[in-house]
Amino acid sequence: MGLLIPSFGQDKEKTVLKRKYTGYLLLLPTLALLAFLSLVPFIYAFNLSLRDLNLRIPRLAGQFVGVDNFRYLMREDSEFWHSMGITVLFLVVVVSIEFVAGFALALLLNREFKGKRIVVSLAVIPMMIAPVAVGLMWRVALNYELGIVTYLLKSIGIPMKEALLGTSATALATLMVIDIWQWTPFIFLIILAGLHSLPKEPYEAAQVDGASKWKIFRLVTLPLLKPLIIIALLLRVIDAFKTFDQVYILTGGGPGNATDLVCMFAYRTNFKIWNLGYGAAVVLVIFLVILIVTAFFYAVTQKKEEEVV
Amino acid sequence: MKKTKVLTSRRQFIEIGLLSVAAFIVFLEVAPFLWIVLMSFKSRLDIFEIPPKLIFNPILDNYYNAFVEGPFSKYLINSLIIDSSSTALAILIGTLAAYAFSRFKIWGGKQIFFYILTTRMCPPVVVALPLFMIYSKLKLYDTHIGVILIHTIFNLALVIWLMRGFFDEIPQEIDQAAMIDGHSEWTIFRKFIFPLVLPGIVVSAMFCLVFSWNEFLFALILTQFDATTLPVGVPQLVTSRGTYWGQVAAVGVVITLPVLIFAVTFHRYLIRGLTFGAIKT
Amino acid sequence: MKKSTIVYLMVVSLAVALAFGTFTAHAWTPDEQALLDKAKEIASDNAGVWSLEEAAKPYRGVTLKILADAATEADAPQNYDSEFIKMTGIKVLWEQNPWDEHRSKMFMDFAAGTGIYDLVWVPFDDMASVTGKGYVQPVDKFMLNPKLLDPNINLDDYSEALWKYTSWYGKPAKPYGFPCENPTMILWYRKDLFDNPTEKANFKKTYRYELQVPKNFEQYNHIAEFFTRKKGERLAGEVLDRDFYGVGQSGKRHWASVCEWMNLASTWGGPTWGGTLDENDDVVINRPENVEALEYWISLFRFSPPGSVDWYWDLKSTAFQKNIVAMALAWNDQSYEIEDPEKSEVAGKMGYDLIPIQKYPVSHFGSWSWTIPTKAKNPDAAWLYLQWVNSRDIALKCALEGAMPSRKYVFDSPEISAIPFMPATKKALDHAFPRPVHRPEWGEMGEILALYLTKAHRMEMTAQEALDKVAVEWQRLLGTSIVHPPKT
Repeated sequence: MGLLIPSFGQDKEKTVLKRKYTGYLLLLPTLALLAFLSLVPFIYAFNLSLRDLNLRIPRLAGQFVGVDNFRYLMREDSEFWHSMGITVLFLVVVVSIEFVAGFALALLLNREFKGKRIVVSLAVIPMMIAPVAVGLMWRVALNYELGIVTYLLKSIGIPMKEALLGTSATALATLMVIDIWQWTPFIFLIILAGLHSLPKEPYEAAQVDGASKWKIFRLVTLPLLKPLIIIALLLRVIDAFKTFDQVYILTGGGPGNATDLVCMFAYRTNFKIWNLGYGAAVVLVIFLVILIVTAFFYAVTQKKEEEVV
Repeated sequence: MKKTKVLTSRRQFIEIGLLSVAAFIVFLEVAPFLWIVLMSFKSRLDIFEIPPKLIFNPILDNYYNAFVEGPFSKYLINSLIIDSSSTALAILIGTLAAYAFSRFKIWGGKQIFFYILTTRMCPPVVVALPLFMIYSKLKLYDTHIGVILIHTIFNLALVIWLMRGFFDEIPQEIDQAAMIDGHSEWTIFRKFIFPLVLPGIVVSAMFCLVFSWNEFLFALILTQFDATTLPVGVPQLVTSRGTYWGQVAAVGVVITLPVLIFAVTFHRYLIRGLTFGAIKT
Repeated sequence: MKKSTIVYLMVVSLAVALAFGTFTAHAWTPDEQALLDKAKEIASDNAGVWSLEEAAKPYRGVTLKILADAATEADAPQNYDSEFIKMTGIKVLWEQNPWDEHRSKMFMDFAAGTGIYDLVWVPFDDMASVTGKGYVQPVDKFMLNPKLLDPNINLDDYSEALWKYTSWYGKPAKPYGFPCENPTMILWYRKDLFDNPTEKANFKKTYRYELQVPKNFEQYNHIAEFFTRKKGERLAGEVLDRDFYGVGQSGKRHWASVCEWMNLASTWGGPTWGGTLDENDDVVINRPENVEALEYWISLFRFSPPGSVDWYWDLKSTAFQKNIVAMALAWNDQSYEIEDPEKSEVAGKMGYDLIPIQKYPVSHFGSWSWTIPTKAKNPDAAWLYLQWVNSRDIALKCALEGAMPSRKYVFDSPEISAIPFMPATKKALDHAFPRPVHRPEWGEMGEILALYLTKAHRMEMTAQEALDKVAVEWQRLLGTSIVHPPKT
């Protein structure tokens, strides 16, 4: 369970202040709020997942069915596992490209120049615009006949026989590009911040040793940035798993089920079909998968660290 | 002498090359936004003109229709109230909790910390329906305080996570020295610790603001007339008769401004604070 | 198809049209008629005695909350609410959201039983569910209450098919409200192009008959082919600066494609429940006629803009507004936007008519109903508002502001019948058929159909395979049998 806890800073013995309960006192507001508005709904969802409740169908009025929902989900619902598959694909692609692009941009802009403040602020705009508004804007831009994206791609000589959102492969790729556009700045910002606060001494030492730039980067910069990288990647992995707004507005999961990421699947089950019992099971399984993936991811990065050391 | 000159010019060449790559990426990031800005001043027919018109007769109708005729100025005020309060609240509560995790022995601390993190992993659909039921029972439905609470909660995990890093960064010796000097716990926090974590607070606040400002699903299902926020208003422009693209763009521009202003103003803190106190000298 | 076949088809369709006439196989049952008669009786007793001011006295100071769709139909009445407030002292507050968000809020509110709303607009597809679950209450008790019934309610104004499928549910059926938003599908075509002499002559040269509004889908196909032009070619004498297309279809995984295709299925094989289920609710979605209709629909994408595989209704009207499409099956209520010169390059150039007939005359309609939730805090006051806002007077005023009418009185008024697409709409309502909204499972059924329609036109499977798959999945949901069992 403790896997996910970032261990930056020294692991010194904590100073135990005199009055032990102060710590609990400080935690109290957090725990009260969370219990009230996160634990209670969670228990509620768990209870629902064991029942057959559909708000649209009178005969499914909430009968207790044990783990039937989970059994069906795990064994028979191939659509769900398809969704899970493309979500993982989506997440691996976007997070790795965002990481490389964001990192590169941070390295490139890691110098002092006039107007830097403006450039950095502009570069992070995409992650600040409300996803609902952005999604609708992309709809206009991606319109095949009248949208600017198709027009630009055509005018640089790319043959565009189909609408980007019209074929299975391009639709998923388009969603990926949009996600990359929107979240590369996130990685960029965090890495740039990290680069700014790097200590000078290790670099001076490396230069004295006559190490190549690449070697310095690999042996000095990367290890120093590692805690930051882990946090940035973790947050992105979690959020990429939860990708919903753009799918909802741009493709609704189609064409076919080519872009039916898990959260879209869960949304449809819960809020379009109103199959709340099964929907709760779906959502809990998604949650569990996120937990496992994050834990796994964290374990891997931890291990690598040990190898480096 | 000559040799170095060649080297410099080659280095400059590479330098320029790299910078233009950077400029290009930044351009790609910004261009869609500029396009939205242009769009917000276009009429419906101009919006769908191909090739796109760069020179057109700019109109203010979209802004006027959304903010003067339409309800968006009210939504804007709601958003400002709700998002600034929830950010303040999340920072206040989250900082206290992070301080506790960093400085105090908490029974089951690791587990509790982990539990708090999981609230961020949870897709919002999980809690949407039960929350609605709780809210309507407790009369929190369609109130500012209701939305503030839920926004606070989904930001809490992030604040605690970030702030804990900052607190861990500060050497324990500072506390100990202060304690030996006979300061109370509160004074230690206020006088010695707090100033050191200020950049962290700015960064956390910035992230809270961004997430809260753009949050859609909760604000949608938990509000009705009085507490509707800007993002919730946006889909209202998609009607069964057609979509008011120009107004969507206008609202999109306005939504972006406050966060942008915040980012430019606190730029210095942002960069410094974002290190999460993670890198040691 | 040979010419003789066309003639044959035309004869058959004429015969069918004469035989079945309009979609009136759903007259009132005796019980329903009795209820209506009784209400009329009370109404005539109330004439001259009843007044809204008097009836509303007990509810003075009450605030009604209305949950409605983000549609002109809901915008329009708000301009007159002040009249109601003045007369009754009852306040009215509207909350409007687009379709998806509206449904989310509606079901959540019903599930939680909050009683926040006094009036809710329920989409067609959800009426069977919300009435079956008891989330909303029948309004017959208000209709039979002399204290609450307006003598000028004029129930005869509602066409049976429209009102019945919109608002009468349960066994025996009871009224749950009135239609509030009732789009119907009609044919949109570019009248200016159809009337152009050069185009007419060219068309005749190629197809050996006059270019005219298509009467069947053979002609529809010809015209679609005829008007599909490349950039640089001429259209009505002008050189095109972009590609132009004969037809605009909706191919997105969305209800838009379901509703559009259902017209074809219905005219090919009969309009009962949109050609999806038969009278016993057995599954006929994969009947041979539907497979043919689906193959036809897919083949027509050749003449539809490549981007249309991703269209829903909004993009279809945008394509008309930007003058790149000649014809489409479309919703009548979106015609307003096409006729708005500020938004549309083709305002005034459009023609509207009935959907071509392959075999049966059809028009798919989908309606919303006003309802009063069971948990509503002020049901009586809600009824008074419901009755007032649907009165002839207010309905006409709203229609003039662009709300689609549902009362005959409004359709027949001179101002409304002068609107270009209204005559076609009124005629279309005679052939209006609903989707299988009587089944609460329909929500999920529709999602499945949308998925496989896109799979078929994406050529991931054949029309037969796609519809067979739908049939099997529907059977699983409904528990009824499949009339044409899949071969595999």
